[in-house]
Amino acid sequence: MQKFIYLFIVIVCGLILQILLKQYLSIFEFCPEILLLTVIYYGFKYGCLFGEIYGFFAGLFLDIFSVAPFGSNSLCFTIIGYIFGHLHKKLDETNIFVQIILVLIGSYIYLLLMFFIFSLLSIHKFISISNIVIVPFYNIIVSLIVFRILEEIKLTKI
Amino acid sequence: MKPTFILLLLLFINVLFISLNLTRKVNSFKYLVYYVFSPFNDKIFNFINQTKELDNRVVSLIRVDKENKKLKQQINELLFFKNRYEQLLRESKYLYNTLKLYQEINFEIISARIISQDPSNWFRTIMIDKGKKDGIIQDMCVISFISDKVVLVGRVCEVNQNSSKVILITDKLSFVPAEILSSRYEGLITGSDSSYLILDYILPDISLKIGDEIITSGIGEIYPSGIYIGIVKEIEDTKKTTYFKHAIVEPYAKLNFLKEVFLLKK
Repeated sequence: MQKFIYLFIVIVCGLILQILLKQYLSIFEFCPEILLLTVIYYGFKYGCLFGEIYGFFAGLFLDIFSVAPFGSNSLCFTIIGYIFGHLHKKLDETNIFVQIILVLIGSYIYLLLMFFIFSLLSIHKFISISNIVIVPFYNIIVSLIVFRILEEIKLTKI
Repeated sequence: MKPTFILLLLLFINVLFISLNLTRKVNSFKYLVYYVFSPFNDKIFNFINQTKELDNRVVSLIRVDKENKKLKQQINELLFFKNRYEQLLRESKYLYNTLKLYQEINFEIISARIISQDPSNWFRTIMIDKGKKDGIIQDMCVISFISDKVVLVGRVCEVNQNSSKVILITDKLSFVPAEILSSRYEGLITGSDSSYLILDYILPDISLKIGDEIITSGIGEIYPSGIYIGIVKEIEDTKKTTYFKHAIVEPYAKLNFLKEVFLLKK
């Protein structure tokens, strides 16, 4: 039960942080995707099952506060959680270089999946240079802090 | 096998959500979570705004501390009154301008406070503290007052019981029929998912220069005519385009710094 409460708090804090960063520290109106970073971390750290279920709920929460089609973020995060869960124990999770590459790949997978969903639903959103360059770069910078925080408060400690 | 099965199950639920998007049941679920978390969001933003003001107070306190006790008391009092006076002056100027413009507009106006922004990078939207129970309906035009101008902010795209979402003019899904104020020629303003707008469908022989003001043309049922949108910053080379001229427009409304907006009742 404590673990569920902890994960719920992580999702709520991630979402609030994401909103605050967009308001106060956005670069060209783009903010880091904190919830995506938590999905990548938990998928990579605890495996497919945990990653996909956490991704599902984190995405659902983001969908509630966004005007994106309900379920779209959840779908993307579920898939990302599953994909990164496959890398569990296969790579050195403490290596910063590995973390950077994972965040970069995760950001692009999210970008492509969202673009694919928007295309399917005939929502005219295009991938801009800012989407390709600024967001993944910003994600990488913020992930170094977010991963550190999540590492400090390990689930196993709770 | 188990994670793959769960994945398929979750994906099925997601696809179901997407296909049932905004049906009554899904909406009810969204409203419920909104209802629980909206005040929380609001409190956090208020707290941050309060902490911002705290810095100035601390700095002024340190400065004053170097003075003697008698002067410190006086300076503190004077600073307090000065700040209060400036704040009231700013507020009265803003209210005076707002009231003046308010009377010029032949619409009933509802004021609303911004409580949050869209958390994703895909949409440029804001959440306001007025909803269905305050008379807000979908596609209401949202404006703001900047000095002596009524400026366009966006339109209502989603209405909840106590809050609503406003899609900003800078969102790529926003289209506003517009005209050039000086020549009265019409075009279409679209968002670019950045802080600038794009003025499109301008015939190549129409004179358009940097600094031209763009206003709403009044075509369609959403935006009334004569609301200021922005100012032309850059004109695209006509040789590159096939038929129409494009221009980059800087919006008048400082969308990142808005604290309150006004909705025009239809």
